[in-house]
Amino acid sequence: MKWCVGFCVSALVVGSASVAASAELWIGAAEADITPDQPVSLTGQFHVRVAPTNNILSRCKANVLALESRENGKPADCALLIACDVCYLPRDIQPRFREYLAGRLKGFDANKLLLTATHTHTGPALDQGWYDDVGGAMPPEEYVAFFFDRLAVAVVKAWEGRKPGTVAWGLGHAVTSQNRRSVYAGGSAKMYGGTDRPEFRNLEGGEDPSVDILFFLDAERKPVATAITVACTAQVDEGLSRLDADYWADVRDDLRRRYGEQYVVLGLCAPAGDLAPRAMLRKGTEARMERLRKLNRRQELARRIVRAFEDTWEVAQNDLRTDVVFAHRVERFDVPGRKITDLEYETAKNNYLPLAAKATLVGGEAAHKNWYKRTMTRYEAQIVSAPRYAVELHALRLGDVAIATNPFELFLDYGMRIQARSPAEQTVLIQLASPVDDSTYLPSERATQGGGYSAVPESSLVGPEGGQMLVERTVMAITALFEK
Amino acid sequence: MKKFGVGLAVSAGIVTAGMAAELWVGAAEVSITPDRPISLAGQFHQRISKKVESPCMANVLALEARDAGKPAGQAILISVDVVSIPVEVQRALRTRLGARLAGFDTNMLFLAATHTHTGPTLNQERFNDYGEAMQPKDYVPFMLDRMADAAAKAWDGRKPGAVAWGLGQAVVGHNRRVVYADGTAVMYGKSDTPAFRGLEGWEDHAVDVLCFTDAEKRLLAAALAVPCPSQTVEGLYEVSADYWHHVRESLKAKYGEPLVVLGFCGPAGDQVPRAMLRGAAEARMERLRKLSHKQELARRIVAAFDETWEVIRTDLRADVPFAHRVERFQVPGRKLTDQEYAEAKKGYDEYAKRDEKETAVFSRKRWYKSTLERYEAQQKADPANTLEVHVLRVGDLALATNPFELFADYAMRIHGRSPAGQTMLVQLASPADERHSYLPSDRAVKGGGYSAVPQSTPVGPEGGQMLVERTLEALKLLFGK
Repeated sequence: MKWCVGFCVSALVVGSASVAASAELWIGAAEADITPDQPVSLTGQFHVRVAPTNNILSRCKANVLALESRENGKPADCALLIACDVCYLPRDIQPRFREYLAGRLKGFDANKLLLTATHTHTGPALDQGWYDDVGGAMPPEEYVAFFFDRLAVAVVKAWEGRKPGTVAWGLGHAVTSQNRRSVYAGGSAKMYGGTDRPEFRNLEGGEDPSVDILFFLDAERKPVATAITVACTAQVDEGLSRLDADYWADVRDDLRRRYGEQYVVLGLCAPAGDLAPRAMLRKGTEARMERLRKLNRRQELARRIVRAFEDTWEVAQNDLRTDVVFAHRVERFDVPGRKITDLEYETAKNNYLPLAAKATLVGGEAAHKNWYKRTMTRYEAQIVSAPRYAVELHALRLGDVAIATNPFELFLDYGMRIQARSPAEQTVLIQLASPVDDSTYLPSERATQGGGYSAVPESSLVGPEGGQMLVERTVMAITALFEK
Repeated sequence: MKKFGVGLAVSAGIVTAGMAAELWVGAAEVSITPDRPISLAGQFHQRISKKVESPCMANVLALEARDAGKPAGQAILISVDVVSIPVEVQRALRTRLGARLAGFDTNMLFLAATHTHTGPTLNQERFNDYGEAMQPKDYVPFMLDRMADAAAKAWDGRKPGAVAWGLGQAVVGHNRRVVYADGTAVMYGKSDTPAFRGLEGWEDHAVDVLCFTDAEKRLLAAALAVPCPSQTVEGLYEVSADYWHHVRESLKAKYGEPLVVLGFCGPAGDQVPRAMLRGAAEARMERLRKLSHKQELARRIVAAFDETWEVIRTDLRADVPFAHRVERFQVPGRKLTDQEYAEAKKGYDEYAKRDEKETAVFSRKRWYKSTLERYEAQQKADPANTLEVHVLRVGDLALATNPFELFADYAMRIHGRSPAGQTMLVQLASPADERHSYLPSDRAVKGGGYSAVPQSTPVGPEGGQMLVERTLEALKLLFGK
């Protein structure tokens, strides 16, 4: 089967055929508390964790931003952007939520709604995932019903509450994450591999300290909402068995103290499949600075993000816009899935069989068993037909800013390629957004060569071939929005 | 065959050590900018300065540890606004100071270049024509006079003081090697092409801050290591200390005019102070702030200093373990293959046809010729490069130098295994050979391109790893682990 940007198996474009001129921007925002009042399964580790209700570290939220452009009083385009304190969004959640909202959002095209995940590893599970069971916690389907209910209220509130407003944007910097893949002499790579070994050669890829910030105000120029995009997953506290929004909780609390309790803060994650909020180098030095500041790691990252926010707002507020070009393009297409080689199949099978033979599986063994099994299943399926992966990509234009989503834990190399070729003055990339297929890392070429978790076949339904196609489609979509 | 390696160094280390001793501190600064036009070093073509945008400076820090009143360790560190330090310049300064500084072992002094590309040329053979400008052979004595005076002032003026250290962050440098689908790499290559695959390596956004106060806890001197060369205005025909000038001015305005600010460049052979991606967004922010790019970088560095000093001042130490170890050894030079020789010869022959009056032609010829000479020399003996590495301990902080434009991968290896609480790495420091240049990583050598090709690199990955191991050995000796 031939895969080519112009010959994708399916390529459906929804939304603006042409980009409108500057239009009045209507803005609404709301927050939903998606923390249940029952013990709930947490997603993010191979072993099952159940978060009790009496030991919540911070409440998990979903923050909603509603945008509509109007030309001469008539609606021209729209978007509902929702940032959720969850690890990932299962493939059916967004389509089901759009159906759930049917009839409740007057004048809104449900295709223009997109959900994103902060990738907190201490958020509620929306499916059973790799686990054989959820350890007596609230069944995921029951949680989903609760999640939809709470989220729908906030979405309706944001959409119905939209009013003429003002927008500004800017680029700040905060060092929040480091590349988490250690490369050794001989070329192998390991996620979180020790850097204190003589054979350590380098961290595999780059890092991204950019902080893209969108500021939304009402007609009186009072702050309403902000969308902050950081190339750092919210997983500082990833091993806890407590509900926790991770560093985003601290960021939101701090910004609300400054800008009002009603201030809605969307935490968005830029391409960060190979990045992590922990020090891979200089660990002792970083820890000492945190002790001197009397902050823990997530508080320190929040401090840096808020500092970047303030630093950026200081000047961005001099460039407020009430009329901006706004357009929202939704593209659905398939990219080639990653093919499993004979050797990879054998490796998966050799790892699967001992686990399958065990009478009792402990810790993360059940999840690992299912993880290897899926690789075997993929190999068997690809004998029949070439693997494909469905993508729903949202590309938006907001003034001089392009926003583009992807559903992956996308390695930074792909983000760089899009940034380099984007015609927009500022480009905001959001990962783990608007999924319509299973959650997966998308590793770079150099990562697949190095191997290790996040780059092995088990971790990645799509490989570099699909990744480059995603880049091309994203660049094309952004270019279409900025064509003169 | 010459044998290199850890433990088989050509020279032994020189150690002065004083553990948990009283720290004496002195500092001074001096302009090394003459009032005549000079040749500016950093490009292949000659540039004669038309004016002074900001003065190039030498900033001096003198340290002495005293144990029960007796000298127990010493160091003079000098940061210089030049592109690199020729080995004969450091030797000459040591010779001058040997007679002037009683009780100071001149081996304990090192110079480090900020790598500004708008500072004076120090090597007479660098260009073939200086016009009416002050020639390097006349400029260098001028500079040495001034630096010697400043070093003497710092050393003689040392008094009991205190020290604090910490780590900040500032986004200053970006990896400048662009990698393409076919595996090749180009320094400053175009990234807005479908063949672009990524930036080759790491970017280090840490800022090591080392502050010294007097006995009354007033800031006397600050040493900042930023892993990024100060070359934002690298093409100017003006004398400029680049972003370090603005950092110094800003810190002096906040903390007092007498504050001496030493700007050190951390390992940054593959880094550049310009946005390789998001250039338009960065430029817009600078317009909104009404700042030039170098002013913006200075703003970030100063912000990192301020927020670090804010907390580390609560951890000032008057008595600290202090030690200074100087290691002299050789590492294997980069061997040239027959193909690399052929390519260098081809390059040389092309330039040999052109008129040397064009200074860039002269420089390129020289660049290729040195490669041809290396190849011819390696027929008789294995190539070697002599290094002098300084490793200091100040409390829980280690400072380690190297003389190269060192690629970030090597810094990672040292950071990963350093036993110190904080490790401050300084490149382009303390030369001991006529040929120090870029020291590329393994992946850079595979990708090629300027800064990784043989012409640019007298030492390759084998020597780089040896540098890493020797540095770590020295650190382990100072930190007892």
